[in-house]
Amino acid sequence: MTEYILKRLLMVIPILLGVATIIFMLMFLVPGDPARLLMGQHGDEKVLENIRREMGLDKPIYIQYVKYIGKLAKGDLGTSYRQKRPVTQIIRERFPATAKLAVASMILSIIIGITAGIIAAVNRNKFWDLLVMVLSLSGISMPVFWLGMMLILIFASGLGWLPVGGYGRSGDLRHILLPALSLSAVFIGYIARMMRSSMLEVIGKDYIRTARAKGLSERAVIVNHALRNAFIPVITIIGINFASLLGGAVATETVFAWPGLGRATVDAIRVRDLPVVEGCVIFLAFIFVMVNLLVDISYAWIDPRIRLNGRQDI
Amino acid sequence: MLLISLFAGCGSAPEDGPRIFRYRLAADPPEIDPIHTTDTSSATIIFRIFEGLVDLDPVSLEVVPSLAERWEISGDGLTYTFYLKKDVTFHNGREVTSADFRYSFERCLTPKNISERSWVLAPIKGADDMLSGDADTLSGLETPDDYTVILTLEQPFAPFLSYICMEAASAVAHESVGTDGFTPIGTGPYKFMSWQHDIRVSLEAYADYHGGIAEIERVDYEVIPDVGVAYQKFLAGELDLVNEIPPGQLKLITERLPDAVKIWPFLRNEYIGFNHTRPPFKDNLKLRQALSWAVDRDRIVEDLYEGAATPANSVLPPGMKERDDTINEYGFDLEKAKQLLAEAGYPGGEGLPELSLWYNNNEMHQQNVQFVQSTFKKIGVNIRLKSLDWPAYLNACENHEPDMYRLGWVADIPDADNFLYILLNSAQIGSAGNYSGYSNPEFDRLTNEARISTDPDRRIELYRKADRLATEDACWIHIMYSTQRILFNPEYDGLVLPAQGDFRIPIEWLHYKGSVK
Repeated sequence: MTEYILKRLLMVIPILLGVATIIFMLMFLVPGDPARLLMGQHGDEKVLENIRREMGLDKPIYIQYVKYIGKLAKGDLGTSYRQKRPVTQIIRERFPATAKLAVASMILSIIIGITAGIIAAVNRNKFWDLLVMVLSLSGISMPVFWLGMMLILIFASGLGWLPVGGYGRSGDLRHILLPALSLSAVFIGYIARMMRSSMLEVIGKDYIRTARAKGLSERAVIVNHALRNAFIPVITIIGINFASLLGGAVATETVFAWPGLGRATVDAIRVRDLPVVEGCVIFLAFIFVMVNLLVDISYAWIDPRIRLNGRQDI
Repeated sequence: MLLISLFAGCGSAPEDGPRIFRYRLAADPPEIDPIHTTDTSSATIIFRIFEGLVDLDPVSLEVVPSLAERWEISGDGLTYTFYLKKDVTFHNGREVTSADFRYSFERCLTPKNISERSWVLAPIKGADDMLSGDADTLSGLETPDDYTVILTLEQPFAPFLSYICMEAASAVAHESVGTDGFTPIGTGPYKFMSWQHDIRVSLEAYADYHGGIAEIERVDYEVIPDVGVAYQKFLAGELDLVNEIPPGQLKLITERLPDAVKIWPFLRNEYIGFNHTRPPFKDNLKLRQALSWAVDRDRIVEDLYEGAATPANSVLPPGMKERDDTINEYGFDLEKAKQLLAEAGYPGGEGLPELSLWYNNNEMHQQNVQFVQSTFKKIGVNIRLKSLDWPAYLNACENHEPDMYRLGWVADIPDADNFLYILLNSAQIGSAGNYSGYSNPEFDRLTNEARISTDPDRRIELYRKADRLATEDACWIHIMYSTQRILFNPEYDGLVLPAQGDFRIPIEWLHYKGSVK
């Protein structure tokens, strides 16, 4: 187990290097001159020349690349062109907001999604199943932007129960509820559907029939025998979704004026602030790898038959 | 408690703590440092914290005293002598002297500080040497005593006084620069309190302000990217000023909140540029004129901008003293357009290749160019639309890639030089501002002379001629002059509507109606 985890951790290095290289090349290929963009519409030549020289943008691309990777190796994500501050500082500021939102919406998604999925599976083809299926499909199909605006109109502007977007002083419960809800709608839908189909598959298995034949109550059959096994595919979905949420949720963050990483990344792309874009993407990649590792470890915990030997048999 | 008062609605005064004026910003300011300010979010805050030698009156746009109480300009237009006010202090309590201007100007021009706006000080003698790293001090700046600043220019430069009203020429206390970055310390009516990135910037009234302490004790600039949400926050009493109105809803909102909607013209034009560097527009005046006659400006203003704009007939927008209202070269007349098109050598559009019209991604811009596309079709001219994001778009325009492109320009300063020279003088072709590649020796002569002339009346005359010439020449298709539209909490008064835009609104002039002064 320890060996497996160490191996996986070592794999992070080539993955991050690959991501850094790809994003560097992509940003280089996208048209738009970062130095020029700092200046607004009035691009005075001498000033432009100075910006390029001081920021090292006048150097050939391979030198810029080598310098960049060299800094990265030391854990230095560089300095934002526009904000003139270290990228790590920018990520550190935005990440708490993003993490709060991700955790809040994951909690909502897991509680509501899993419960709904179990209810649907147990009541297969009955009213509750149908209701869950219809609602989950709506959750998946609703654009986050639209749903967010609707929630604001109903619960903030209409009923006045909650503030109209914003972070408040520190992203407290009153402020986080609506963004978390609008963000989780999609995941509730996915998790509910995944949980349902996974449960149905498990319920059809021989060992469940055996359990029932032993005379166990339906409740004991579901809770003790079916649930745990049905969780495995759902955990994968939760893990991947959680990782992507930790990278920021642009639409939700924009509607609710939530100061997260997604907005910071997209704003940086809009002005070609390359160090920020690269830093945020590398950070996201890192989070992705880590969460996936945690997911894999949790398989072993949930299903003791799975042994982590670094093989592909999991 | 603070939180509760924030959401208690705009009508009620908070029980404890100061009254907070809440101002919506569409984006987090990249920095709050005058030498880097190029966007309106930063400028909104910078102009409250920092001041320069002189300032622009927000309404009349005249240059008025700020940290300098008076100034003299030598007859040859080369030497500017400023006499500083005494007993003016920075927000840390230290008195402002001429040495602070040396520090601030040299800081802006030092290459490693990478100021995006060092061109503001470029007319000063020795500025270029500093920027290129050949000098460490600014030779054109002298400080004979603590309260006198003498600036010598390389050559006469008429818009200079307006130039140093820009952010980059502000007095910055050297204590602003510390080991942990830049903390804004200026002399303005408000001092910096706190900044939570992407959330809000808070300022508080500076008690020892040389113009008297502001009545509004605190201003919170709230970063709300989505204008629809900002509008909802305004309705809920969570904002006092929203610097935009959701597009397409102006009439609706005006009916609902007649006292809150403020609309006024500001110094911005919008146009469709021609590519003068290659056929078919190069050297084909009739073709450019034909298309200029084929745009229904009145309908664009009425249908797309809900009447809150003015159809354009020249380069300079209303509000500029150099503007000539009698320039009225093009109306909307498809018959005339067809006739000119035939004279241009393309009867009914025959023989004309499909032209490209580019624009940057934005719903309003898209509607605008689609509308133009549909009327061009009526005279037989087919155009292909192409949209890009701003960085790629700017790049393409500077390299003269499109046949036609949509752009707008907001004046940095209320001087015609900022429109006519920057956007159309042939010395500016490329990134400096002239993206159309327009080049007319007579136009260059007029705008060059106006740049160095020290006679204000002569300058006005020259710019009027230049604007008329460029318009007759169909340098671009003039589309419209924009208005600024804001939502403002009517419980406050003292609001003035600055011709440069909302970022110049003096918050220190506001007061809460009925509050005890």
